[in-house]
Amino acid sequence: MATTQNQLVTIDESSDGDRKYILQRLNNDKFVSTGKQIIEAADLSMGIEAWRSNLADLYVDAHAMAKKFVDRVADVRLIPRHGTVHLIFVTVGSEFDFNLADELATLNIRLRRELQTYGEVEASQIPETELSQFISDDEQSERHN
Amino acid sequence: MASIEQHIAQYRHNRRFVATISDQYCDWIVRSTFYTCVHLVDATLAHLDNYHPIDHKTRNKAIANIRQMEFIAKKYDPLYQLCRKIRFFADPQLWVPKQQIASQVFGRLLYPLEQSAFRLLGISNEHSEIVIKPS
Repeated sequence: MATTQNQLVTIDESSDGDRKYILQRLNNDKFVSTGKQIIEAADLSMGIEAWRSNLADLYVDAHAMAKKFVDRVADVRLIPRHGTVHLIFVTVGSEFDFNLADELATLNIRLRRELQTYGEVEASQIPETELSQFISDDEQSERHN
Repeated sequence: MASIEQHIAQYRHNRRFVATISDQYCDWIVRSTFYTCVHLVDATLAHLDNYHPIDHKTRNKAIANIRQMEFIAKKYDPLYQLCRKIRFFADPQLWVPKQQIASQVFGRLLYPLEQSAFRLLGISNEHSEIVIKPS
């Protein structure tokens, strides 16, 4: 659809949903999509952006929580794996921290209630000394990329 | 699917087993305690909501979303986290030393969860404290 750069084009799902559009890339590759497919793709893209933003906010919250356990939590990591994002509190020392576990339980309850906002996220604690047992080398290196 | 009564029977069965485990197997005490709670939680979900979870994920979501079970969720989640990880530890005694089993795993998590579940299920608190078997 050739228009001037500033001209807004409306694709109305009710009237244009079945209409076919040719989408042309800079390299002249062309795709044919219906109005409905274009709207759905845009919707999904906006959804993913919102989810990424929510997850970034959650990571900030997690760091704030970790500050309450400054002597016990060495790091907080987000590891996506098999459709679930694991929010891992890396603890100093070898013992399970029951106070931290109480906080993480409250967080997990919130996350399970707000699936629409964060998707599948699970918070847990892992001691530094056992980290390699739960996080692969690839996942470790991804953190630094 | 199991009935409420069957879940409660399995809960009692597992709880009796916990008391037979020597304190040199703290990891197995933790794991058995968790599976004791699983059946009590499932009985409670069935009683309150006629809900029968098929796996940990659906169970966790269900507990979190039933307001009456919020207290149980707060006690159950640490047990779930403990149980999930302790299986893979080379030396699980370091993570949960035996000195913490009675006070933390039982006193802080299991007993309060049981009391809350019993109240929701409308049954009297039938259990005494678990005495850990010394090695």
